[in-house]
Amino acid sequence: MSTPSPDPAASGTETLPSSPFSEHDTLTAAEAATLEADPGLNRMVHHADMIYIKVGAVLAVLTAIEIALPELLDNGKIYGPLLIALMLIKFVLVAGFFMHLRFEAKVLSGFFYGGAVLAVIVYVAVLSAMVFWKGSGNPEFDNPPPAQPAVTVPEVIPGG
Amino acid sequence: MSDTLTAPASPAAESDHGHGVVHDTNTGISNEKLGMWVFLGSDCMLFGGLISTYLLYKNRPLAPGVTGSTERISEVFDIAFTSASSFVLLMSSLAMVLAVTSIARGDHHRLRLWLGTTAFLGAIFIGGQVYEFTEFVREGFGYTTNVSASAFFTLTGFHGVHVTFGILMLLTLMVLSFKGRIPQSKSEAVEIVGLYWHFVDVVWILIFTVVYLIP
Repeated sequence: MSTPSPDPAASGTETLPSSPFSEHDTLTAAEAATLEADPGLNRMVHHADMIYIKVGAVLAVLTAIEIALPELLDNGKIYGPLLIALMLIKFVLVAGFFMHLRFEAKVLSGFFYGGAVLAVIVYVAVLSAMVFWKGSGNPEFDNPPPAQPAVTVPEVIPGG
Repeated sequence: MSDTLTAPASPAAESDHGHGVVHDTNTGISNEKLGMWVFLGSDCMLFGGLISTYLLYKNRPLAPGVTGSTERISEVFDIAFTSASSFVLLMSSLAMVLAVTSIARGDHHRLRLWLGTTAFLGAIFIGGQVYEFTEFVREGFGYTTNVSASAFFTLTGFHGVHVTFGILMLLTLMVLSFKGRIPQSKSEAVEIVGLYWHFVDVVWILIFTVVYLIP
């Protein structure tokens, strides 16, 4: 049930400026109008599928590097920071290209990245309070926690 | 490469954005898309809390005053298997973005092809997660075995539920497309579902690294 593409000659055409992907450079007037209604989608479609395939390939390679890191590295100390760095690169690639934040209004980028950074700060602060601040009056979060008697659940007698 | 496009004034631009009326907003972003972003922002906080909880308890399988297994669930992780699942989910994101560009160009045949591919890859991921959970239970790690197991199953289970809802949305889009109810002018609907799907992928990128790979 595919919809046939309108004939560009019949419906009017528009040539996008300076795109390297010539097969997608011609839009019908109806297509251009649809894209004009959504600037983010407009800018995203302007990039050809090949861009996304390249980003997908980069993501696959980064994942392979992540998995192979223990075999590649002898120094275990830089293993964690390297994994975090690779994770952040993958995060930005997916958010920037696949979620096309790069092409969207700045308010969305600020909302998403700002919120993500704020969330990381809040959660790291809370985790550090629980894990690292030993002897701060909250011994249950010491590692290991203090020994306590096991909780015994009283036996429930039906009807009693 | 220029990022701008100047479209000609057209009656279609003024009369049709899925509802027959174009709604101007202060942000320049449609209310539907902004609503999805706000939802994703709240979901960030949910997964942030779940990941933090797992990090807090992963090396302390026993909470104060609670008895149970002292083994950590991370000892039975199958990294090779989870890596393959992660790759499948990453590629599903690629298929999703190709679906969005297909409908933006008015190519409904490719839209259905890529939506189906995305849903299929998502189903493979969910199948892998079910297999992984089954193996963990066989190894002796149930939901209530200890706190670290509970935190792990809650985190990855919530993510699995998100993926499942995403698959349902993709299948719904496919059905609507077959019925001819997703014209090119409604391509934003596909884009919004795509945002959700990519977010689920982004969350798994975090979970895979923080939970599975970092010792």
